[in-house]
Amino acid sequence: MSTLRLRIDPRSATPIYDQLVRQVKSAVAAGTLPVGAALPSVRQLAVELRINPNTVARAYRELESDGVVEARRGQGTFVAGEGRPLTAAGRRKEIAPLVEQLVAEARLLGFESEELVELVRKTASRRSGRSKEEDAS
Amino acid sequence: MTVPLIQVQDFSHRYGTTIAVDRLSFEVAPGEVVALLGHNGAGKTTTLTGLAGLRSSQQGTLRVLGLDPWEQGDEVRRRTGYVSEDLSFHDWMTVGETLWYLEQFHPTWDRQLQHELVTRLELPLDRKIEGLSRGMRSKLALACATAFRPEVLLLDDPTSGIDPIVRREFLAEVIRLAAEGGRAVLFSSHVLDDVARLADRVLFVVGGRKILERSVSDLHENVRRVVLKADGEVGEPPTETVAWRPDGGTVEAIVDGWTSVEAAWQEGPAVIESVESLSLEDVFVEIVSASKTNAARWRDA
Repeated sequence: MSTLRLRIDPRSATPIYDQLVRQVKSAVAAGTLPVGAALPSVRQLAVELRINPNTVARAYRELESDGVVEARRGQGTFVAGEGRPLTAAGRRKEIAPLVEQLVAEARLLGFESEELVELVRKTASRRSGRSKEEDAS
Repeated sequence: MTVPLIQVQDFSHRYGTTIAVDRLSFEVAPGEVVALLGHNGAGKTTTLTGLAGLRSSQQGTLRVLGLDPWEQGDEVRRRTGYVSEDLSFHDWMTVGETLWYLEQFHPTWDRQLQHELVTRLELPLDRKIEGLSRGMRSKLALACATAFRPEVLLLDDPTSGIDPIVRREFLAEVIRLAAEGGRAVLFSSHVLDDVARLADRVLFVVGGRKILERSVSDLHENVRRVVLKADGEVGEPPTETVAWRPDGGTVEAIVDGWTSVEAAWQEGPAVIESVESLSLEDVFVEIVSASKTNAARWRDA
């Protein structure tokens, strides 16, 4: 926790909760915040950064739905382990822009919906087959 | 529905012929921090002193904790913390005496909390009030306003004229109280940094009138500075436009309601060249100047 240095800029065009989300994400990606590390409580962080506790709570909620952290009831908020499945909403949120892009490109190339779905299904099953082989070896 | 801790309904106030507050309405729910934002003379102090029970309402309704702060002033003041703009105390008392004196008015006064506040804010208990700096007075005022864990906290421009270190301590204490949950904090300010840090919701007040009431996150999501480029016709500004500044073949537009505007502009005729989010300060500047332009337009019409 002591290695976590969060800074917020109230003059930025980026909302404060979003500044927190980004900084925690990059600290996790950089390994500054290892898996299982505890984040400060909402109250602690709000007082330390002198920002509205609701803003910190919102940032933690976003991080949780993105699968970056997990809230353990009565214990606090911790950096989630690798490969931990995201919540349904979090997974959808992550994949949505890629799906949008795929559909847009497919339209431009003249794909019909059914054809595209079939292609996705084939690719997905080929991939999962391959990863099973990798697991076996 | 949660019952609002602060209710202002059609509140108006005049000083002689000058209108200080003009049909102002808003509410603050438990757990919310709301900022009253506006220039000096916008009517912020009049509203806050009304809520603190220091003046009767000439017109409209004021309610704090569901009570009339003028008619039921004692009860309201027992449960409401108030830091006034002028930070007045009995100058002949010491800091310690002031805390003891105020304790007598508040059944919920918490000695342990008082002790913590004195330590954290480094309040000199033996010093006389008359010798205190503005920063020290503001810290004392905040200690007095929070040591009884008020359900409602009213702050009138609390961080103006105090140095950055005191300001940090002051904000941290306000947040400590807000983090206890279930409380309403209403503060006036023209320090945009403080508003961005503290407020869930902002009320922009100009000349006693509310020109905008929005959550801070809503403003961040909806207000954009957009540059449009067009060879010929740029088209008409949409209704969501706050500012429209044509310059040769481009237009710089400030829009409030970006998602719907974006959909419309995708159709052309103009091409969207850039889209930028705005800081709260920029939003404030744009909206206030737009309201002045509109006011001038109404006058001229």
